[in-house]
Amino acid sequence: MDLLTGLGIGLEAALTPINLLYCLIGVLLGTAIGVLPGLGPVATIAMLLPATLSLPPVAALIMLAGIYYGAQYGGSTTAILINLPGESSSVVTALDGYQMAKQGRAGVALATAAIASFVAGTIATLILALFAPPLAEVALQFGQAEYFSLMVLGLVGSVTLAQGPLLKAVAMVVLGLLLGLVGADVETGVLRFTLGYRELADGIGFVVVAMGVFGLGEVVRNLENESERGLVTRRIVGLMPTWNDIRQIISPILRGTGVGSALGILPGGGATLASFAAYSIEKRVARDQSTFGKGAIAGVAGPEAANNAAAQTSFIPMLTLGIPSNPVMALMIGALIVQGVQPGPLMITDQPKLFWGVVVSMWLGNLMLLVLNLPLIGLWVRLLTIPYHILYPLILVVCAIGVVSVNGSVFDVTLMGIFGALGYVFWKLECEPAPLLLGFVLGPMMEESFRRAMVLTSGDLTVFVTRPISAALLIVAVAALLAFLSPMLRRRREEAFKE
Amino acid sequence: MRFNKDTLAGAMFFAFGAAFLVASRAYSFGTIGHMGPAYFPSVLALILMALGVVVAAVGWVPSGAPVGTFAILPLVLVIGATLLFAGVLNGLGLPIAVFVLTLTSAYASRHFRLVPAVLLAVALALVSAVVFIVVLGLPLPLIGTWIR
Repeated sequence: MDLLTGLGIGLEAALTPINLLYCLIGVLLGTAIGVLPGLGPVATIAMLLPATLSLPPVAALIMLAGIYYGAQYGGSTTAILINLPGESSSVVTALDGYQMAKQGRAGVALATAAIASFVAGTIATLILALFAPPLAEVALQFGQAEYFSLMVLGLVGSVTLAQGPLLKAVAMVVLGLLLGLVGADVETGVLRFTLGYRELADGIGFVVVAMGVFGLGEVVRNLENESERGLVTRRIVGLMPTWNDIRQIISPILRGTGVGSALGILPGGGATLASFAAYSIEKRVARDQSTFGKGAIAGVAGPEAANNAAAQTSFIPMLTLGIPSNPVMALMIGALIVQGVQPGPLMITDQPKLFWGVVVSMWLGNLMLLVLNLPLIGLWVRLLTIPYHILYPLILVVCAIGVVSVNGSVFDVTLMGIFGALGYVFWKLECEPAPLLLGFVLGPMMEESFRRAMVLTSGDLTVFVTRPISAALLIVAVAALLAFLSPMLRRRREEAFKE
Repeated sequence: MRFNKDTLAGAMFFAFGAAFLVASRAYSFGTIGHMGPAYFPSVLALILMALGVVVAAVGWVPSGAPVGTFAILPLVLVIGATLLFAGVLNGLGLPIAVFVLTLTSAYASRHFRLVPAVLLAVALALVSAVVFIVVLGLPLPLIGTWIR
């Protein structure tokens, strides 16, 4: 199927009034969440997963995707206006964006962020549409060994990009894999690790873990450092960038898009890393480095383009291989599986409406954001005045009801509470939970492909290194691990996450 | 005993690994060419235990960062409120369960004041009953079995 036919199918699917509505709801919710610190896209998507179960798969995925890239927009708004990044991916935007705001150029900074995000989103969506189908074709040749190695690579990626100590991240992945194995064994039907609870026969619910660790755990963690939120509301004047501004941001936007698109595709890659990388590139190529940190417009345009581009292209491994590249994608896979859609190489040909509909809706969503974001800035800023002590009970209520509604099981709420406590302990012990979530999703898939590969070869472990694609994937994984163990890169990585 | 972020995290990973390893013994192990249900988890559990030892050792030698105090009160209240919600949902119905969840968890905040918290709890109880039961039609009890 060629690109135009695909886009035609996509337009048809995305332009139905109901799907447009869900796209709009998604981007609005996403922006609101991006604005609110302490409520990230992972927690929100986890919270809204149950609500999407009653929707058709296309509408559900469109809305969830909208939340994700909407959050990238929203996070930058507060970063610029009050130096408070709503998302980790907009941390660097605050550096120069807030300085611009202090110089009375808040409007220009916000417009720059919006334009950069839109341009990057458009290009990255095209990349997705162009590269996903051929990649899926390649993936169709994959055997069990290739899949196993690919998942190893994905997990290594999530480990190397996690914040904090590498070893702990590896241990969290393994713990996640083990937790994912709870429930009936796929091949023999033996109930494993259920501790006698019949409710665990189908495994621990993905929503339960995600909401517990990211929702409840975050709430406790935020309560530990509860503080008043200072809010500086100034009138925002002079929204439109001048011709000179536009000339200055064109190349940073294009560079940011390139960096972001590339990093987004990598397993474990994501918007946060992309924005850091784009900022350091802009700083390096700038003629006058001293302006950075003092309101350089390129320091806003580059990272904003990069984080949005990465948000779009991180869908590629998910839609083509069924492998999540970050926790948000793991949630999307969870949502699709609950919907009865198995993400993977066959999805593009089996579910063209789903794939192309989502692709087209991403672009529409970006357009909506550009149109909506600027007039609504005042509203978003007002959202910040909701104090956290009102917000968090609301989060808890939504989490609790959301979990109950998935299976109608009170047991799941109890389990979520336990995972909430665990999530807080993880944070106290500096164990990043994102790798755990990826491991949790991949656990059963990895076991299956490993076991099948072993059955096919009668227990020959060398199959992983003798099949060329599998070997290549493993070499990349090992190289990535070694690279991050090397002192130079390690220092860079620590610098990047120092915030 | 040196308690720090690394030794405790290592101990935690070791304990989880050991628990999974012990639990795996109940299932058949099989051979590498034909793995039983215990094979893959046992291997992972052993890896996790080994990682736990290394993580702990890393913390032990150069003495890792101190854990700091746990925010026990928020932890107990937030998690307790969630468990309480699970405990009373079917017995007392959704509105009362939401009320209990909101009020208990709200107490964890430094800015807790009784009257606003009660108002918030009542409001959330009403809104959630209307939104989730009436509008979305979730099969949740409006009035529980204990008080019917």
